[in-house]
Amino acid sequence: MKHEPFENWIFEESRLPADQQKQLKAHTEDCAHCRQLDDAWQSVQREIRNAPAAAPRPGFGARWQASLAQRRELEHRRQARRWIISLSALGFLVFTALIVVFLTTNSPSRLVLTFAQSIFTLASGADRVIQVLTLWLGSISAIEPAALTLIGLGWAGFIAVTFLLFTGRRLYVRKVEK
Amino acid sequence: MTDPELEWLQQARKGNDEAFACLVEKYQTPVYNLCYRMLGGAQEAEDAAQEAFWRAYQNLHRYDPNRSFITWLLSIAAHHCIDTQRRRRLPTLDIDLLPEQDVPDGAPNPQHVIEENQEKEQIQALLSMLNEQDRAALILRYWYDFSEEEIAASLSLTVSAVKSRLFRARKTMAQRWSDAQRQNALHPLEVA
Repeated sequence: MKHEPFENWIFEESRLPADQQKQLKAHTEDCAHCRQLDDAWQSVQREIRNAPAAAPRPGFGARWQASLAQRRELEHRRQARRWIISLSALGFLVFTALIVVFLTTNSPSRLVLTFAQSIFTLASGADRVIQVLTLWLGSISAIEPAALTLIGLGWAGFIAVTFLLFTGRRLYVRKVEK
Repeated sequence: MTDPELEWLQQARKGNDEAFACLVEKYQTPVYNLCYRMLGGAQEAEDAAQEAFWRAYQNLHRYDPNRSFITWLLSIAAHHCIDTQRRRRLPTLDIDLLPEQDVPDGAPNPQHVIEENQEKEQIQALLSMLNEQDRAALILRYWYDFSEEEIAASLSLTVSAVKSRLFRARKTMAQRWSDAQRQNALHPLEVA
């Protein structure tokens, strides 16, 4: 049996014209498929109408307020992370661009030469530092006993003066209190 | 919208959290109900409703005051639920396992409460068989009396797309209901 256009009419929301209503009624009396579909849709509509509005557990508003600060904090962190990632990406792009420009405007042999020169300069610089240190340590060892005696006497004098000052102050305070 | 609501809305748009909290109190049930109908679980609905309010709070400066606030809010909730569903598909309930429908007698006894719960599951089971957008369209139409134009605006669809989605949703639900009734008639003991 042909179910069109009756199936469409069953699910049509707007009210059907009287002649179509009659045709649909006549069809559903003869056609079990369309009758079942019509009955089913009526039942579903009834179910929907009877279904209550689901309500949240009590305290929904309080839970919202409690979560607000947490959500804000999380959002700030997210934004900070976004900024860091964006800046890092920008830095990386600039760095990459500089390298590309540098590589495209300089010949490879010149780059190798510059690198070797830098290494050599560093090595000779380190050698000079070692020479200066050796010289300085040598000169220190020559005056070591005299220098140590002077430093020791200086420290002993400083400690003695500090002790006398503190003790004197304490005695003076006690005397005033009495 | 009533005067206090307009006032809350204006204050909330100026950054007053207390005013927005009043709006949350006012609209918690419709937003939660939409999420519950879309997702089918109480905890998921709670999380989705809270998230919907958070998104509304963040985007309050984009809200057009000429538009209904609840329509805007429900639109946010519906989009969020559709996204959630797409990410984590809801396990569909087998309609064949649904209990046989009895004629409710309206008596407030334990049996009646059980029947009510069963009916609730039936409607949720039927809803869960629809795809996310069809479900959202149907819920907005039948639980919130949205017009096809409002549904189209809320779900970012054309009116003709809403019409065809609603038609498909109605037909699917009726067919599934009919199939379940036939199964229950054939195997009443298995279902019981």
